[in-house]
Amino acid sequence: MITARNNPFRSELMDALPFQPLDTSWQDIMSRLGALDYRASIVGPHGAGKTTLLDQLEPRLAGRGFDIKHLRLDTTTTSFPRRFMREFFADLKSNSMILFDGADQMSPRAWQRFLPRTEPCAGIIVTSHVTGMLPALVECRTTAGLLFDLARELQHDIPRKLTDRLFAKHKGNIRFALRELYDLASRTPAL
Amino acid sequence: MNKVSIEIEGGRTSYAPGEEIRGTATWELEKEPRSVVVNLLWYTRGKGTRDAAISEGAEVENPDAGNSCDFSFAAPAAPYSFSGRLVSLIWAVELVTEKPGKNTRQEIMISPKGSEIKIYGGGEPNDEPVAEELPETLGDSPMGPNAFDDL
Repeated sequence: MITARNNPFRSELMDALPFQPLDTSWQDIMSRLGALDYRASIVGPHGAGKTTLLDQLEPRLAGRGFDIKHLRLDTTTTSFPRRFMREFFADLKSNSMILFDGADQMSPRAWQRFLPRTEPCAGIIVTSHVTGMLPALVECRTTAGLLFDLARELQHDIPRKLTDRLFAKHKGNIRFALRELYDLASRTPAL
Repeated sequence: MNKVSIEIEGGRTSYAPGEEIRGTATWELEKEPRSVVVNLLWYTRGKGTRDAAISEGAEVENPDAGNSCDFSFAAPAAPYSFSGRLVSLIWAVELVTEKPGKNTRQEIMISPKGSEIKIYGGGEPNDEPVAEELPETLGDSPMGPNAFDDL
């Protein structure tokens, strides 16, 4: 048995995989972000790398002097307590940059109330499965080749036919495919 | 060049609950740090969300840019170090400096027998024992070149 601490697809290594821009570059992403006045969305389906991209924007933005503020919603937590939001907005400064993962969990009405309150700060970048919340910075997508490249970062001799099969099985959801690789690895006897 | 290190007394890697974990933390930084802390902590590795908790910590008062300090922690009664398919719980002593930020960890095992508890489960064949001792060391490259061939 391969224990969790040695599984090459454990979450700490998966989360550390670099975002690999398709059809663009980090330079283009940062230029476009500036052109959008740092108010933008990262759009794409589940498991396409939105959160990874948001996480990897953080050091680049902090390096430009922005004060990073995090917000996160998901399917189990779809709203913030009022008191939390009051304190959150009270803490915002002119150089604050909000990184909001899962913003599309907010109802349209809540979003309409939320967005104007972010105007005093330097910017807001959200991840969303749907377009229209803010101008799109990047539309994340995946390919079978991308899954192969990422899986190979974690297990260098992974067969391409396996990653192709998992890519199709999980309909392009890279996170789910990598999690299945974790399960497969955990059942593979250590040599 | 900023350098930090943790040395556990006698090179020990395993402890029973209640035993004393002693060692020396050393740092060599380019300027006086804002803080230097030595922590005894556990954290998880595995498939799901990671978790961690500091069991005990000791902050160095007015730390110089370069110095060392001895530390001593009592190995807690729980949780034990363990590993299964889904999650491993790992104990460590860490040294963390802030401004300049640098850190290092030395993993240790805490359990009654001084070695990691191995957990089996997950609906796999019953030919595996419920628990047995793990090997003392676990390799970083657990899978060989043909590990996935039969999948």
